[in-house]
Amino acid sequence: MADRILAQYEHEEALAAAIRRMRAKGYRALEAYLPFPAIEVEDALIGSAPSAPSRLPYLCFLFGMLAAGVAYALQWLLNGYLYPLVVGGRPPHFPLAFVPITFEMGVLFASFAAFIGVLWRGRLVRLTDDVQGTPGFESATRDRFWLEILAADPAFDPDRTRADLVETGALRIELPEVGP
Amino acid sequence: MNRSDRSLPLAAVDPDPEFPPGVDQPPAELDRRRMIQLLAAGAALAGLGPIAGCMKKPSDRIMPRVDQRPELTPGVALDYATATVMDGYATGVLVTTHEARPTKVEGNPDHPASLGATSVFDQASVLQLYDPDRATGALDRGTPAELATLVRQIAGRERIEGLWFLLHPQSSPLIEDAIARIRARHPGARFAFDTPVSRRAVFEGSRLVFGRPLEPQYRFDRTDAIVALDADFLAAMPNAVRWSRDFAARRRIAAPQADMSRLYVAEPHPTPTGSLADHALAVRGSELRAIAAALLAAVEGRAIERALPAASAGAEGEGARRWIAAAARDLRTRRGLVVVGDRQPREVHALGHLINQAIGAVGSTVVFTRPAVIEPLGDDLAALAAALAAGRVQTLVIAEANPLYTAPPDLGVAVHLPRVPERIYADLAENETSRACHWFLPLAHAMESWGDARGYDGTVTFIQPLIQPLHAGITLLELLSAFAGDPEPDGHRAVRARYAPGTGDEATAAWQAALQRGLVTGSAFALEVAAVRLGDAERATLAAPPGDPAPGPMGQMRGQIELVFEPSPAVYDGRFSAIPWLQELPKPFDKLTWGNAARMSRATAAQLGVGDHDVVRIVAGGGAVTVPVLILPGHVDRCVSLELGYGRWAAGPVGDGVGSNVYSLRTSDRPWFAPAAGIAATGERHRLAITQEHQRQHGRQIALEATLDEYRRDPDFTRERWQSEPTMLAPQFESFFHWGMTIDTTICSGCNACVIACQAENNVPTVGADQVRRNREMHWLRIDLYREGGDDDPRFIHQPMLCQHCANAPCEYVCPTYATQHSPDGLNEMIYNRCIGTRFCSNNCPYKVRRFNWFDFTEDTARTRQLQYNPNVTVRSRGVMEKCTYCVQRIRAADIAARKQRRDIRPGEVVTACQQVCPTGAIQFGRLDHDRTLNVQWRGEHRHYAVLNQLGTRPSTVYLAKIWNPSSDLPVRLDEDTGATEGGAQDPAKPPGAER
Amino acid sequence: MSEPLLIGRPSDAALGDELLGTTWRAGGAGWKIAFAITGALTALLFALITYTVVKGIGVWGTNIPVGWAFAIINFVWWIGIGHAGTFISAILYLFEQGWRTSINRFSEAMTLCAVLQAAIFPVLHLGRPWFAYWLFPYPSVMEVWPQTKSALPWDAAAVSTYFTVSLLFWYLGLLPDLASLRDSAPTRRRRVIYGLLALGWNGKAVTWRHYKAVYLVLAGLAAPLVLSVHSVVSSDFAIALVPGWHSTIFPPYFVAGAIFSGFAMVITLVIPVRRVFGLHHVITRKHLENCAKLILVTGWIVAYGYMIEWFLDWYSGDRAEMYQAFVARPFGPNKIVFYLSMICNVGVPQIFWWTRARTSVWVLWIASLLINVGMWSERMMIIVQSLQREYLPSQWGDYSPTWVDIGILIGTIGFFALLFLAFLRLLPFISLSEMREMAHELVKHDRRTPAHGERHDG
Repeated sequence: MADRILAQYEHEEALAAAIRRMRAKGYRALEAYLPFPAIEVEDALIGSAPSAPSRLPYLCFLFGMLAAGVAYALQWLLNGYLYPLVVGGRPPHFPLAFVPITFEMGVLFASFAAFIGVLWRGRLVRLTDDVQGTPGFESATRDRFWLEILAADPAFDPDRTRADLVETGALRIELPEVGP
Repeated sequence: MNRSDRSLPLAAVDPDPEFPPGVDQPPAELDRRRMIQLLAAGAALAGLGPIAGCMKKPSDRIMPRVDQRPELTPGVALDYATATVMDGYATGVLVTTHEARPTKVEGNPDHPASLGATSVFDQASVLQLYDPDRATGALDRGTPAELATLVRQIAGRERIEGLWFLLHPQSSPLIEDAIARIRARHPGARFAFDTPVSRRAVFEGSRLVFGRPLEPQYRFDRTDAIVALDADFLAAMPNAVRWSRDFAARRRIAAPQADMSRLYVAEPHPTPTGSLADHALAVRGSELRAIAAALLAAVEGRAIERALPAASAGAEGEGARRWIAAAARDLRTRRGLVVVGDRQPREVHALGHLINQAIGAVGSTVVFTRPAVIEPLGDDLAALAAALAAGRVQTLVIAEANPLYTAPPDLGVAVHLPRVPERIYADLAENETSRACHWFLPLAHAMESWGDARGYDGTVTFIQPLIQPLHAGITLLELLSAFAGDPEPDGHRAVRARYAPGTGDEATAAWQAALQRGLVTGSAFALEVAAVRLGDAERATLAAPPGDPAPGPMGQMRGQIELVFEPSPAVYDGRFSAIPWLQELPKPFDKLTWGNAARMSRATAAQLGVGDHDVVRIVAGGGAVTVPVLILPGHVDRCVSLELGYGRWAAGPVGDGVGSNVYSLRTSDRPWFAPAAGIAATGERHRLAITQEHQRQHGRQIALEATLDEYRRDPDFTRERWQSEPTMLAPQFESFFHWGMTIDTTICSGCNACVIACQAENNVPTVGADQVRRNREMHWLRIDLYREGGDDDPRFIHQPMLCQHCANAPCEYVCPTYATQHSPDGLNEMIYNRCIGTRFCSNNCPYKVRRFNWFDFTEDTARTRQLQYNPNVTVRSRGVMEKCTYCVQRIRAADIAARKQRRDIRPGEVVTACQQVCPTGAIQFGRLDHDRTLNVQWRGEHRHYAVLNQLGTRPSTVYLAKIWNPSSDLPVRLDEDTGATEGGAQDPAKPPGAER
Repeated sequence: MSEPLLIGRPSDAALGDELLGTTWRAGGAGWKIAFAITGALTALLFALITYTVVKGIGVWGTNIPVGWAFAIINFVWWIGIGHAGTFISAILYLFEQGWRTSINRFSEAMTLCAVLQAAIFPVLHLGRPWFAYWLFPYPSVMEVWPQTKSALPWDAAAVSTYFTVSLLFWYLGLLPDLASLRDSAPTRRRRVIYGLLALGWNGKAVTWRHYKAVYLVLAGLAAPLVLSVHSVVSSDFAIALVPGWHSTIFPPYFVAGAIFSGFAMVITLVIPVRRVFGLHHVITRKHLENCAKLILVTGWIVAYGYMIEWFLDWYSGDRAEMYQAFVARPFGPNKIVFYLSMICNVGVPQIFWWTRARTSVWVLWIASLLINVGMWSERMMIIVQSLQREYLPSQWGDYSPTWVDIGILIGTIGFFALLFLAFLRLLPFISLSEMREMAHELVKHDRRTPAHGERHDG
C-alpha cells in the first residue's frame, strides 16, 4: 500500500498547471520536487501545506545580534574588567576598538544560523528519504519536475488520483511501495 | 697556587640588615671541584631569573651549606673593590658577583681614575674572564705540563745569562720589587716594556723640556679653554674616564646665562673628543708639529707664518691660521690648557709644555707627577729587537705582550725571536707569539688574582680575586717572584706582606678596610716642580718649522697620502679580539662592527676612485694589506686612518680573521703617521657590517643643537619638541610616581661605555657580522650619530637612543597578547613569556629601539660566557621581542629593599647601568617626584626636548639639546640641512649597495 | 554589448550532462602533468614551512626596521584575491546581475583556495607560531586574553569569519548540484560519496523556499563582510603611525585593490578553464567583458587611493610622510615595486577603455597576469618600503628576501593551483541549478520576445 503518489512532468509550467488542476479537484497535501526553484510552482503551491514563507531570516537576525552582543561583552569583560591593563595610554574599556570583532562575530553566527537553519527546515542531513529510490525519480535533480500527493490527503484515492494525474499530462506516475 | 684567602666585598653593598656581610668569619676552603659546583649552582640560579632576587634562605639544592661562604647569601649580589689594569694604568672598579660569579663591572666611586665610571674595556673585562678559549693549563713545547712544576724549575735557576723580559708597561709596586729582586738574582737581566700604544713620547717630551719623565695631570675642571692637539682625552688616553667627568664639569651648561668651556681640537679623524669640539681642525697627524709650533708662536705674540710653512698656503692653510689665532687668543685670555695626544712625537709634547708654560697653565690647569708606569725605566722593543738580532738573548720571557702580531716588521722580531734558545710565554690565552715559544704559562685573569697597581695619579689600587681560577693560572707578579727565586709564589702573601705586615686585630681591620675601599688612600704621587730646562737653541729648533725629511711638515705630505694608525675603540690593540661584545661594538663615527676599514674623506676617496666597501691594497713600511674603504666625513684629506687590533690569526674563533692586520704597515720610527707607498683599488668589494648607515636628520629636528649665543637669545628654542601634542586620551596612572631619564647631549662624547654596560647588565647577546649586516644587532642601547654641516667640517651629535618608555606607547596598543604594556610607575614593560613575536610593536616603534630574537641567540652563546649572565634578568628565547627596561631589575630590587624597611625609595637609590657607567655623567635617571635629583633638575632646563614629540608619544626619556660654544672669531653656522634625497651623495656613511 | 549570456538554448539534460560531465570524464596526460607540477610546489611549500619553524624566522630576510615583509605581503595579496569570489556571488547576486551565474561557483572556489593560502602566513610569520592560539580568547590558565585594541585579533576574527562564511555560502550553493551528481553518478562509490556530501537533498519545493530565503540572507551577510575583511586587514597598517601606513584612505583603498586583484585572478583562471572544457557558450565573452569593466572601475579607485595618499602626504607637511611618498618610494631601496605597481595597477587597466581589449581573450589574460604582479608589488611598496624609511634616519635600513622567502611565495602559488585543479576535477564548477534556472528564464523570455539573444541582463 503506497503512502503517496508521484507524477513526473516535462517542465515547471506543466507542473504548475498540474498543481492548480489538482488543487481545484480538492487535493491539499501537495508537494513538488524540482531541479531548480521555479516561481510558477511556488505560486501554485501557495495555500497547500506546508507553504508558509520561510521565517529563517528572523532566526539569522536573532543569532547575529546575540553573537555581536556576546562578542562585545566578552571584549569588555577580558580587556576592560578582568584584566584592565593599560596599553598605549588607552583606557581599558575602549569601545571604538571593540567594533570590528563585534561586527565579525555577528556576521559569523548569523551565517551559522542561516546554514544550519536551512538544513533543519529542509530536513536535510539524511542519507535517504521516502521518495528516494522511486523508479526514475533521480530525474528530479536533473531535468524533470515531480508532483507528490500524500495518502494522508483526504481526497486521496490511489486509482482516482492516478486518473486525475493522467489528465494533467503527467509523463509517468509512480506509487512508491513502502517497505514492509 | 693557594687561593684560600678571601677577598672582601664592600660592606655597603648589602642593603639588608638581615644579611650582614659577615666579614669576620674565617674563610672557607674551596677546591676547584667545589668551585665548579658553585658555578653550576650559579648557572642554575641564573635560570631562575628574578626569583633569585627575592630568595630569603639558601636552598640546599642550589647552595650546599658546606660550600657556603659566610658573606655569601644566594640571590644577594656582592660588590668587591678591585682594579682593571690597561698598560699599567689601574682603574678602581667594583665587581658585582652573584653566588661567587663575577657578572658586572662598575667603577669604584672612591678611585680617582674612575669616580664610579668605567671605560668599555673595563666593562668587557668580565667577559674576558669567561672566554671559552682561555688557556686551560701550562704547555711545554705544545704538550700539557704541570704549572707548579714549571714554576719550581724557574725558581730553581740562578744567574740566567742573556735573560730578557718583554712585558706591558707596569705600575705595580710589588712587580717593581720583584723586578729588583730578579735583577739581584740574575745580574744582567733586562726588561723591555712595550705596548703598541706606547706613551714613551709623552715621557720623552717632558724629559726634553723638564729634564725628566713626568706625567701631566690635567685639571679640566678648572679649564675654560682647551686646545687638544690630536689628543682624545675623553676616550683614548689613560685617565680618560676621570678626565671626562672633570671636562663635563666645566662643559655642561645648567642655564643659558651660565658659562661653559670652549674646546679646540686638531686631529686627523673624528674622535669622541673631537665631536665635542667647538672648533675641530682636520689636519694630518704629521702636521700637528707645525700647528703646535705656530700656536706657540701665537701665544708668545710672534707671527705664526714662520711656523706654518708656505706650503700650507691656500684655503686649508688659511683655515688653520684662523683656528690657531682664535685658539691662541682664548688660551691667553681664559684659563687655558693645551693637551697633546699620546700618538704625537716628543717634539710636539715639548711644544705643548712650552705653550702651557707660556700661558701660565703649568701649576694651575696642568700639574706634573712622576709617571705611574715604570716604562721609562726599562728598555723598549727596539732595544730587545737589537739584542735579538745580535743573538744576545738566551732566555726570553714574554708576558701579555704579543710582538709577533704587533711589532713593526722592520724590527725583525718575527725573524729573530725563533732563534732564541729558550722562550717562555705567559698570557691569558694562547696567541700568535705563544705558538713560537717553548713554554706557555697560563696567566690568571685579574679577577682571579691578588695584586696591586697604580692609578694614573699614582694611587695604589688593590687587585683581589673574586672567583677561584677557572683554570690553572699564575699571576704575572707570581711569575716574576718565581724568577726571583720563590718556588711557591703567592700573590696574597706578597700583597699582605707589603700593605698589612702586622698581624694584630688592628692591622687586620685596617687591611680589611683598605680592601673594601680597594685602594690606599693618600697614596697618590706628590706633585713635582716642573721647571723648564730648555736652552734657547733647543727651543729655537723646536719652534722652527722642521725641514724635510723629518716627519711632519705640511709640505712633505702634499700629493702623498699619509697613513694614520689608531688603537681600535673596540678591541684596542687586539688584546680584546676574543670578546664578542667589543667586536660587535659600533665604533663611534662609522658605526662599524666586526672589523676595521681604511677610513678617508670623500675627496680622498674620489681621488683614489673608490667608494664605501671597495677593497683597497695599501703598501707601506715594507708591508701590504687589503682593507675595505669607508668614507668618514670630518676626516682630513689625503690621509687614511687605520685601526689597529684586527686581522689576528691566533686569537681564537671569535677574533681570528676579523678585519685586516695593519701592524705590518707600521715602522718603528714612525709608529703612528707614515706616508703610504701606494694605495690602489683591488676591484673587490667587502660589505662592512655597519649599524647606522644614515647620519643626516633631513631637517626632522631629531637631535637639537644651538650655539651658546643662540641659546641665550632664545632659551626655549626647543619648544617645538616639548610642547605636548593635543590628545583625546585621558592620562593613565596619574596618581603614581613615574620613572624618567634625562640625557644631556652636550656632554655625551659617544664613547660607547653605556652600550657595553647595558649589554653586560641585561644579558644582551651578540649576533655576529652577518646578522649585523642584516640589521639584526641586539643592542638595547645604541648611540645614534647625527651629522650637521658639510662633509669637510661636520658637527656631530651623539644621541644615546634606548626605549623612551612613552606614556602613550605606540608599541603597546598594537600587541595582540599584552606582551608589552604599561606599568603604573610609567615603565613600558616587556613580558617575554607573553610574546608570540608578531613584531608589530617594532614596526610601530618610531624610535626603533626594539630588538627581536631571530634565532636562539642565547642558546648560541658559549656556555662559559653564559656564566656572566645577570641572574636578575631573564634570558630571552627565540622568537620574542626585547628592549631596554630602564634596568627594571634594579628598580624592583630597590623597591623590595625599601618595602622591607617600610620606607619609600630614596632619591638616587636606583641607578641604571648606562647611567652608572657614563664617564661624563650625561645620563641621569630617577623618579620624577624626587625634585632635588639632577634628573628632575635637568628636565626643567630650557633646552630639554623629547625626540619625535610631535607624534604624541609622550616619552619618559628627555634629552637636553647640544650647546656649542664657538669663538666669536670663528662663528659656527648652524644651518639646517634638508638632504631630502635618496642616494649615496647625501649620505656618505651609507654603502651605495644599500640603495638597491 | 550584444554579447549573450548563454549561447544556444541547451535542454536541462544537455546542460546537466555537459556541466556534470567535467566531473565524470577521465583526466588526460595534461591533467596528470599539471597535478605533478602543483604537487611538487606544494611539497616545496611545506618543506620550507618546516624549515622556517625549526630554524626560526631568521631564515627570512626580515629585520629591524623591516619587521614585516614577504609573509605579510603574501597574506594581504592572497586575501585580496579571495575577495572577487564573494563579491561576485554575494554583491552581484544582490544587484541581480544575471551574468554572475556561470562564474560565481568557480570564483567562490577560488576565494576559498586563496584564503587558505593567506591563512598560512599570520601564523607562520610569528616568532613563536606554536602560540598563535593566544590570539583567541580561550579560557587561559594564565588569565591573560587577547588585547583586542590591536588590529591583529581583528584580523584573526575577520579572516576566520570570512573563510567560514565563504565556505558555507559556497557549500550551500553546491548542495543541489551535489544531489544531481549523486543521481547521475556512474559508479556506486561516487554515488555514495556525493550522496553523503549532498546531505540528502531532494529538490523539494519547501526546501527550495528556505534555500532561496537563506541564500539571500547569506548574500546579504557576505556583502558587508567582503568590504569589512580588507578594511580590517588595512587597519593592520592604518592604526600604526609608520609614515606610509598611517592613513585613513586605507580601508576603501584596500577593498578596491582587493576586488581589483580578485577579478584579475578570476580572468586568469577562467580563460584557460573555458578553453580546456570548451565552455565558450556558457562562459561567454560577455562575462569576460564585464570582469574587465569592473577591473577598470576598481583600478581607478586604486589610482584615486594613490593620488589621495600623495595629496595628504604633501598636505600634512610632515617631513617623514613627504619623504616617504616623494623620495623613498620612487628613489629608495626596492623602488622597482613602486614603478611596477604604478604601471600594472594604473597603466595596464586603461586598455579596457577599448571594447576590443575587453573582448580579446589574450589581451585580457596577459593584462590580468600583469595586474596580479602589480598588486603584489603594491603590497611590497606599502609594507616594505614604508618600514625601510621611518622617522629616525639613523635606523633606516633596507630589505632583500632570502631564497626561503621566494620559495614560500612560489609554493603558495603551487598549493593554490593544486587545490583549484582538484576542485575543477571533483565538483561542478558552474552552478548547474542556477544555469538551469537561467536557461528556463531565457526560454520563457524568448517565447515572449521573438528576437533571440537580444536580451540584456538587468
